[in-house]
Amino acid sequence: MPTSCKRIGTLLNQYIDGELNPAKRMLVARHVKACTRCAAVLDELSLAKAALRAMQSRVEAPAFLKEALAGMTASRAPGPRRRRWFLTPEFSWGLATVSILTILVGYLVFLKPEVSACNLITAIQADSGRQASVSEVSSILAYFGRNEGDMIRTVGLTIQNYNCKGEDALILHMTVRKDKELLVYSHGNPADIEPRDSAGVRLKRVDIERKDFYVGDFAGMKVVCWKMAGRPYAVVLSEA
Amino acid sequence: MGLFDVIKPKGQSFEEKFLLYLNDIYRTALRLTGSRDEADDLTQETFFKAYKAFTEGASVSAPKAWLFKIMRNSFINRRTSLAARTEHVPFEDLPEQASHETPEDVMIRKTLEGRLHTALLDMPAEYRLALLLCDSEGLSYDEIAGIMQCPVGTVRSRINRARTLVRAALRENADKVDTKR
Repeated sequence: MPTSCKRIGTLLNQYIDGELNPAKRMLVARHVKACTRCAAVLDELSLAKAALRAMQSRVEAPAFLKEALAGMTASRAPGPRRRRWFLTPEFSWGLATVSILTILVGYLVFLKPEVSACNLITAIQADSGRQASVSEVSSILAYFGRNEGDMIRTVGLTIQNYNCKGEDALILHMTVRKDKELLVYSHGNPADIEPRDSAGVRLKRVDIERKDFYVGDFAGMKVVCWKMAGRPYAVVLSEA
Repeated sequence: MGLFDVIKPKGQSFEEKFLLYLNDIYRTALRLTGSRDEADDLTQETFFKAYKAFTEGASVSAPKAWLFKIMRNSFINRRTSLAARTEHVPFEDLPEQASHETPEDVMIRKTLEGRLHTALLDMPAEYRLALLLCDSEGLSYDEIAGIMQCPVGTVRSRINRARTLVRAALRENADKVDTKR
């Protein structure tokens, strides 16, 4: 009994994807050999598959991404080159996508390795996804009279999106020293851009080299937040 | 000894096991989001999450599928959390490696791929992802079902529908090319 084109038509995609068992595969092969209409459909499907494959094969991840991710797994400086949008001078607390924040050095429970300043700066860069620049971190350290030897530690970081009065906003949620939590709210409205800590206290705005940073004291540590290209960053400095 | 060396699990490093799939993740992210910036973000977020899980001791037997699962979940979270602000990047602005084709061949290819790119962006994201994972990444229906957390029958249906849409786009392109010649 000849197999209908309708039946074969339902199998053609699986045929070109190699998803048919041998019996069905032979059924389709035999049918298209004898049926010009189904053979034409098979050709079109094969062309579509090949065209997509060929188009995708020409796409490569940009170099800065490769460097950034390689930096994530290597403990060496210097950090990757910045993309041009890192250089934009405007910092606004507008809408931000859920993305990677920055700079957490997780503690293992039983290991407290000695970490050199070089590794810390690298960790800051590497852990962010969107790297904070070395110069920004250095500016922050210099502004607060710290040097690279200060430890920078947080444990756990999440970003949550929430809606505040009809506006999208972010919560930057950091767990510090495992038992202390800090919530920094970033409102989407440009007119209300100061992040607040979990007690609702606005962080203080400071100007570091003509850029806006927001600073708060928390659990004996200093939290510095800023925003770049619509994404929030944070650094936690331990007391010296 | 660097910090990340300390927390590296035994066996293959993250770089050895996962970073070799960077291009695969990126090019899928690019077609999935239709935006270079969003693709950069999505790719970085995927590897960041993977790295975090890896250093926390996650056991991964199929690294490529695992990465795509993370990417897909991240894409969904990003899409449902915020209003879409992204402007899809025009096909002409997408990065491309140099080729050795003649100018006429390049024009024909770019016309076809332009229609393909548009057809992809016009279809639902679930269809797009299923098709990309199948055609571009060579994953099986079973693997795609695992990544997309749906039955194999659903994967089959999505690929069928996606290819129908792509066929229509390419058929339209073929008509236009023929009339130009």
